[in-house]
Amino acid sequence: MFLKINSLLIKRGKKILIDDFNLTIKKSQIFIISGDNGIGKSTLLETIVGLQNNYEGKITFFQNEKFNNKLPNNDIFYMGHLNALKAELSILTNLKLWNRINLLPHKEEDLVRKLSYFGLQNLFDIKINRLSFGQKRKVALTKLLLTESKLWILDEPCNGLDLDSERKFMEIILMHKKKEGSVVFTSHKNYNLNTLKSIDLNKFKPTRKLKTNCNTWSNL
Amino acid sequence: MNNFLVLLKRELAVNILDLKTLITNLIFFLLSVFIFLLSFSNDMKILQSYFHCVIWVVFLFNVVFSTEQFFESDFKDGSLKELIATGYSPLDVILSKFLGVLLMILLPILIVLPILIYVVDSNYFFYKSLIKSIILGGPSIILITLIGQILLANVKKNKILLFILIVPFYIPILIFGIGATELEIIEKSPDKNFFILIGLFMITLSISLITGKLAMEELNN
Repeated sequence: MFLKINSLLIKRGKKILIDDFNLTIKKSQIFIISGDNGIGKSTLLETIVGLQNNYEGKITFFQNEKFNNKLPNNDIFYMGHLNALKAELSILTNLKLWNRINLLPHKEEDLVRKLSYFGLQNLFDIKINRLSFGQKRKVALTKLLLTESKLWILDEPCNGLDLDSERKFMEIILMHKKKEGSVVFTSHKNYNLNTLKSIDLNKFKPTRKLKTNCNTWSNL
Repeated sequence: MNNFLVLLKRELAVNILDLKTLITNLIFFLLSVFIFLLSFSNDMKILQSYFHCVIWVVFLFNVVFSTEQFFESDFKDGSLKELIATGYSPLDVILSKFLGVLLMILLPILIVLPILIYVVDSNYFFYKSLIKSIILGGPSIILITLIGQILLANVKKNKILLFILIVPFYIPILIFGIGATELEIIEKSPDKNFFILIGLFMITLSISLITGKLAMEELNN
């Protein structure tokens, strides 16, 4: 089992954002999380990877499965809605830095080769701040071709992508599935594929309110 | 330890490759010192007696303005979230950023400082304590600023809050840092001030690490 979430309650300030959310991800599974704007898709993913701690419930990773990785979270690849790229540095330098941080063994030639998947091979020495929104996203998505993580958690990965790149992205995640990896990603689109399981976050809207202690003026 | 070194290398690589900002910081430091000194007087004796104060104040402002690139840019472009999600601890991140600022901001200033001293006063002996006090007090200033940046990363307007928040913590370091050179000028031993600066650094380090870790955990909530 890659990920198990039991009775998750996510709060934002004093309000409940998501209530009683349960999810089990096994190997070779792809989940799409959809829902209205502001429903808490990004917050849910951030909570899963440990960036948010304002929650109740239990999140367990890799039960009965252990991988030999140097970093505690190396089995999980998280990509937020921001690209985590340094604007003043070139595409290749950004990938080199990311490669070093994730303790991966890729060489410069590998990185340039992987860039060709999204057609960025000729732009490898261009600074990030000169790229378009979609091109930046493509650079961020190239990391998917380099990571060795089993579980991918992606926040709106297709944001700003053209149709062809979106198809290529789907090919990457289906390939990852074949390699016994799993993916959870958020999206506003409907993908009519049998291999994808979708979760509608609108169903987890809270029906109750948090009990507040009336010990401050603002709580009153 | 290995993780920390990886982060430190990243920090140095990002800032060495983006030389433009580093050079701007150094030029800002040099120009500010010269403009400050020019506005005082053309009397060399007056300049010499205020030189160490000018260096401390300009150094302080330089740290406040330049640490922004070390933390805020990582926060804004999502790199910080990526680092934490990859499994690096907030403590490693804070310490690597602290050492990054130390090497990329403090070190260049310490390299150009003897040149500035020579321009104002060829009698280098009096300013030995100025360099020592910046070496001992500078790290505390950097840590305080860095924690201020983390606390206020989510604040979009009113960046002036940073100054209001951290200035009270700068004051003891300024007093003992400037005081060390004053003592040297009146031919008294500045060692006591140096020990106090080391003590202040120890206190700042321990408090900053705890505060910084808590602040980074709150950053996303």
